[in-house]
Amino acid sequence: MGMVALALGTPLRGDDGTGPAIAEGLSMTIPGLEVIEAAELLPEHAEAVAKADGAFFLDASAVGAPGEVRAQLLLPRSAGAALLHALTPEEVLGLARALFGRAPPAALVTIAGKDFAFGEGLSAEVRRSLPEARQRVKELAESFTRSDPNDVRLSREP
Amino acid sequence: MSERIVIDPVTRIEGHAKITIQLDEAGAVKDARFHVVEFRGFEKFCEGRSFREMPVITARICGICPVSHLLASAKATDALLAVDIPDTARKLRKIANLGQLVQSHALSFFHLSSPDFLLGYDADPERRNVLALAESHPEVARDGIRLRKWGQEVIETLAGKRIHPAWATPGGVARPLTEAGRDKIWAGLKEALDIAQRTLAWWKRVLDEHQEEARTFGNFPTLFMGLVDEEGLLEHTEGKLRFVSETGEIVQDQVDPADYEKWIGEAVENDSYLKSPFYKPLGYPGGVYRVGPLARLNVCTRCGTPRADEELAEFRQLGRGAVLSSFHYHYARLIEILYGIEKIAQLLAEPDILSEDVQALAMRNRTRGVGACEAPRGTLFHDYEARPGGIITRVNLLIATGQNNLAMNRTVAQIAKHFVDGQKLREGMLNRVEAGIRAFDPCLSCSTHAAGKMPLRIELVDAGGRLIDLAER
Repeated sequence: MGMVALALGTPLRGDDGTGPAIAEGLSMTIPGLEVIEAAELLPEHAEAVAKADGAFFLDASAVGAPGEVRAQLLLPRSAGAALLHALTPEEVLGLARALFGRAPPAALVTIAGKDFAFGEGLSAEVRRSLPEARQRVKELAESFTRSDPNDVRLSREP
Repeated sequence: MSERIVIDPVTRIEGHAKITIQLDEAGAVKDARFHVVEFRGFEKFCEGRSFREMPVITARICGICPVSHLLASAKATDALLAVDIPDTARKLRKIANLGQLVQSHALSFFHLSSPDFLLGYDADPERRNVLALAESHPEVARDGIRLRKWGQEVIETLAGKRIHPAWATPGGVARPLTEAGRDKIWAGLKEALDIAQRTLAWWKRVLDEHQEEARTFGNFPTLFMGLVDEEGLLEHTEGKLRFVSETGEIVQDQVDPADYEKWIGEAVENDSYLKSPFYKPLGYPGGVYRVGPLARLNVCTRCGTPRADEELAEFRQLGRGAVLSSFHYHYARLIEILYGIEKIAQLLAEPDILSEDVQALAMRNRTRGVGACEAPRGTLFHDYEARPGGIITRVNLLIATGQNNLAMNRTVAQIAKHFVDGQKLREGMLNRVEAGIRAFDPCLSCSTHAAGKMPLRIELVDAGGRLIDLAER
């Protein structure tokens, strides 16, 4: 098994393409990483997540100063008010556990976006933060391998 | 005092919408409306682009059914080129479209609607969703995932892993199917077939438990429209249009999709961004017709694959002519899944399926091109006009969900009249109204040409427009 990264968003909506942009080149630094690009999280993603040693959800954030990188460890969520087509990362982990017997260590890594209007290309703030976000994913992947996901810096220190 | 109930937004469908239920002075349901409150404007911002870009641009309309837009668009651009595409390209496009049909129908049936069937319309919404389903009926949730995954693999094998593949192009497809690709699709086919058959068997066993829904969820006479081949067999990617009446009588047959404007008008309502297409000979709003899986099974002479034909014969026992209840969209979806799997197997066995002749090359030869195919939710039309240099000057998109708009309004009204008492907003009653819409599996991202999703809001409004009750999820 290896790690899986779900790169979320659409590059046609400006900074919404942050997830796929973070994922670019990651498989070179994290051996065996499978990248799945998706506009939204769907039930079938649970199977890919359940089979992985670790899972990353890479996305843009509408909260925070543009370019701000955040990393957050995730726990599976059991049945809640899932009303929509799309699922949250925690719900995908919950489905993985309920249907396939396991949910691996997982994290959400985001960069706060600036512009989500129609159009291709990331804002300068997001582009500048891509190396930091990738580094955060790499550190988390190493901690997942060590089975010590808490032994990692999760957000930018003041 | 007459009142109005508004469900806004509607849940477990794709996009943003709300439902308004108008009550009369006595508190009985007088009318109901389904409003789509999102706007995208694809038709407008495609103007000025090269026609060769259109398949790639319009595939972005939807994350659930990008292949349908890709194919309808590619077909419209084939028409601009005035070419007949190679047979193998035609077959590969069919396989991709059917792969998408399987995965989209699986999402609708297993993950969006089966929580209603298995956990009950009156269950707490916190306990009526795919996560609760995974806990209570893991085998059903797993079957849905496996089936979707196979449908997705079919698409990825042909078109690549990108969400919006640039695979179908003006004049054919960008690359042929490899032997390894064919073997990969074959490898998952048996499991997909097993899932489809056991789900159909289960559905037929429990159908009697849903008699009230079958009687009241959009059960009324309308026309039905869909593509059929020259023998009248079920067709999703090519073919001509057929309209049938509620008695099953063929009203129009072998209509060239390029002539759609002769038969289909498009009305615009002030309270919705969703257009309201109607059958022109019957006028607006009388010319209500339905599209999608139920319509396709009503219009076709037969499916053309053995197992699906057996199931179709049984399905047709539900009606004296056409099957009228929109609740049976679910049943029709399962038969189409079975058909899609069988048909993919037939196409993969064609001797030229691995041919590398998949692209016809030409310059733009016409100034107007119309492409149509059956998207999971119904017939999809892309209609382009281009200047001699190939720059697009006009785009009209006629989307499946829009074509069901008038029928969805009537469905909401029928369910509300049966289940809503007007005195108190109850969860089960509101969910049934939503479930009536969900049976159509509307995709509002497509039909309004939106970024976004749908939580739920219900308003109770009196005759003077005064809000007297509100519920939100």
